[in-house]
Amino acid sequence: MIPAPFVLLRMAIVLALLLLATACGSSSQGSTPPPHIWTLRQLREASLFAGTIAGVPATEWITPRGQPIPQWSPPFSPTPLLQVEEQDGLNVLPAFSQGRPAAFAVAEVWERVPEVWVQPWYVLVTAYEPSNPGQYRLKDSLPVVDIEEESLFYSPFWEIIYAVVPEDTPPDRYTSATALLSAGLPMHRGGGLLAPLTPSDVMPAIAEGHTGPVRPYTGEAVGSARQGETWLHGRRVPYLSFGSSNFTWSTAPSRAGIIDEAALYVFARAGSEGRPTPLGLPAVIGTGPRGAGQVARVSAAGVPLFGALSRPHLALLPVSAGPFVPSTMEPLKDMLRGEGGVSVVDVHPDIQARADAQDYVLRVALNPDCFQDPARFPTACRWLDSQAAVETNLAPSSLLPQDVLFTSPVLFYDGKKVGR
Amino acid sequence: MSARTGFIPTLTLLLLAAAPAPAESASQEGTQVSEAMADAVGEVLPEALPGVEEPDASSSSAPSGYTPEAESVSPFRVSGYVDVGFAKAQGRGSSFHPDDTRVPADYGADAFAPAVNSRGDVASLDAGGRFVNGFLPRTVDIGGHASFLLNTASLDLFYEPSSAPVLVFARTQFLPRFEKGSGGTRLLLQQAFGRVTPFSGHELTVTVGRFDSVFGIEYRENESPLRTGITPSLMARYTTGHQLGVKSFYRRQLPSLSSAVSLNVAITNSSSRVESLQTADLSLTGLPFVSARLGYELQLLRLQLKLGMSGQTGARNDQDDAHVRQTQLGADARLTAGWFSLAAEYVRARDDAGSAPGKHTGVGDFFYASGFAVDGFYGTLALAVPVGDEALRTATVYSRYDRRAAEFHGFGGILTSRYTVGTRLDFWSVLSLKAEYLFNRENAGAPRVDNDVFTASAIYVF
Repeated sequence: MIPAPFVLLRMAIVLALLLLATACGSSSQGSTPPPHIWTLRQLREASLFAGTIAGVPATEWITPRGQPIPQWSPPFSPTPLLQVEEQDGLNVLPAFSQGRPAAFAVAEVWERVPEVWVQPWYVLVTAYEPSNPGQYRLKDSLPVVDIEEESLFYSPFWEIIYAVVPEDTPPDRYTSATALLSAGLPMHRGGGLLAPLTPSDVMPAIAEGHTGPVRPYTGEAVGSARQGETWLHGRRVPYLSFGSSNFTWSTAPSRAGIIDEAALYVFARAGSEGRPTPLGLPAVIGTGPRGAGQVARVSAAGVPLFGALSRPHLALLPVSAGPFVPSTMEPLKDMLRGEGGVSVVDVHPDIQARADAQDYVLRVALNPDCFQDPARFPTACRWLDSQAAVETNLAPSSLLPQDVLFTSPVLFYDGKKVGR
Repeated sequence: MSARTGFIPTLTLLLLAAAPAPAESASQEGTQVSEAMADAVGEVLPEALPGVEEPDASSSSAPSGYTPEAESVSPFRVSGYVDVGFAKAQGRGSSFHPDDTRVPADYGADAFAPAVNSRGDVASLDAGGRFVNGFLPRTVDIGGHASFLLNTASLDLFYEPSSAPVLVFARTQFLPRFEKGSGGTRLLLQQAFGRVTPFSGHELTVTVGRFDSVFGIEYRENESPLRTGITPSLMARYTTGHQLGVKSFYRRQLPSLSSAVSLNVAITNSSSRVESLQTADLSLTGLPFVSARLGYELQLLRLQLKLGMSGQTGARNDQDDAHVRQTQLGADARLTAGWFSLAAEYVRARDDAGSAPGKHTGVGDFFYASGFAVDGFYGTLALAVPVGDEALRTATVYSRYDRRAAEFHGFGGILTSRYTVGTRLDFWSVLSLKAEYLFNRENAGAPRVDNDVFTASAIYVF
């Protein structure tokens, strides 16, 4: 016979555990999707298999080789233009910034990742010359990075660090950051570099018949990128460089190394059941975070120091607003009129005949009636073509921040191509 | 794994622990049970501390002549210790290389390496302003400067009524620290629990409260008087944290084999990680952590061997999602033969990545709970020579080797190791003087940095 104290103890333990299990079971919460960085490699895969990312078809950002480029296809263009067969294309996305035509690309998508940090990019030099730091680069050497794309701390935003090595250093002597740091080499900081790690066969989109990437609708040449290889934990991995000095990061103690982001306003209409639906019109690249009122900072070479990391906001347009749609885009007019949500006004022929008319293609105005008044165009138009204009003219409740960030190299700004 | 299925093995283990053992001979009780309380249960109790040991009946002289009646023993007792240190670390006192700009800084170096005391506090956490992500110890913030330190002033309150098999215990610790970089002075209720020993003839206890870990063996040396050396091993951060919840210990003697087997099981808020990595004070996920250690002891006249295997699993308690798991396995061994003792422990841990930004540790809120993997071990060899002197009772020399391989997902692994050599002198059973040197090595993945440490400690027990 089991003694009474054992029985009582066992009963007490079983009862306690049952109560504990019940309490814990009821408090178990559902799993939420984890933060994720959609690298260029993954964007390309999603595009190949018609996937969507953050609710957007990946083909909006990447066009597989031989496929129609969306921005060069109906309803924007009468006949589709195909991406060249040699490589997959990073779509050139038309935009406006500071009241001028612009263009950018989406190279990576940071879903539910609130911040992005700068990481070191080591370049081997045999001597350091501050006025031209790359002048004495160690022959045949590759740069060195230390963070893999799989990490949530991966970043395409690098700070160049020049490491001074002896002249007789073999080019493959240092293949990891650890080896460089352990060697105690002199190091010098050298500014920022935007270079996603990427497959070697993805470049800014080039339509068949063109020699380089161009801005859709207007046909101006935009910047491209340069392919290269870097060491990563002893492996050679490809990267795509969009150039240097095209972003900034914080040096404040509490935010040291965090990349400064800019708002990206994507025009939308209130769709069925009130869900905002992007209109497919050129976005507006901001100069800083929403509401920051930041002035546009541009390098001496004319490269904007903003926009490379952007946070999209859906900007709900009033139905009275509308884009400047030339008569060459009749299918787009029909589509916009069919979908509703914006006003589509026929542009006066005299305005369409203006030499600068292409600067306004698909630019959104709050009062599209101005498109019919050659005498007062464009000054009478209340354009939504800058961060300040969007934030001033649209209600704060109409600007809906999205829980994503874009690695969004600016390829065209203020009438000039940016980068190579 | 759902909450309910996670409880099935726990339930089984606890029911096993609670099951009645066959009656054992009365001769096995007494000293064995008493030894078990100080040894295997897990709590570091006052009687385990030097200077407050129970009198050894066999060594007391026989009374002669008049013997007064024994006074009634108070159920209350107070004990504790004061640990005063002196430390000097190389370089800047941290493991962070001054030219390293990678972030998070604490992913590419072992911030725990330059420890200066038995709490594992390090000389410095100065990362040069770089972003860190909460894989950090506490610090005394002396940098590379030599400094005296009041490591710990510890006070134990102990209540054990003669009328009930209950122990109530609380350990309060004062940790004076300079405010600048250490986070300031803290007053810590490190342990507070009640322990019931329901059956006088059985080594079975049930403890509820905040107590020592049940994982592995290094937690047994959390308090500096009990630790042979001064600093914890490189793996201590995973096994020596305190846990809040309920635990049960059961040990069964096997006299025909001169052996014993034991099982220690705990259901707690968090894992056995130290509080700077995970808090024990509450469950952030609502799911408990289950830990257990299965032990075997061989007790011979001149040799004692103890082996153990530990495991634990549960939801990471540094983030909010109950589906994000953390598992840890370990094996340990202790061998004592004459003046020599050898202790070794292996630990393997795997952490899932968090499902959302946000990481919450004892030292603050951070960005994200990254996926993590670590494997490591340490081995300690000590020679404790009894000295016949009235003042100097024991002189000990010891050496330890630690090795740790860890990787945060996508960041590249780091391999570090450490040689520790030291000596300890015990006087009058109330004072211990220790000195040791830590040779920290970055073997792979982390840049070499000057972070060796000399540290010394004087511990007064009352």
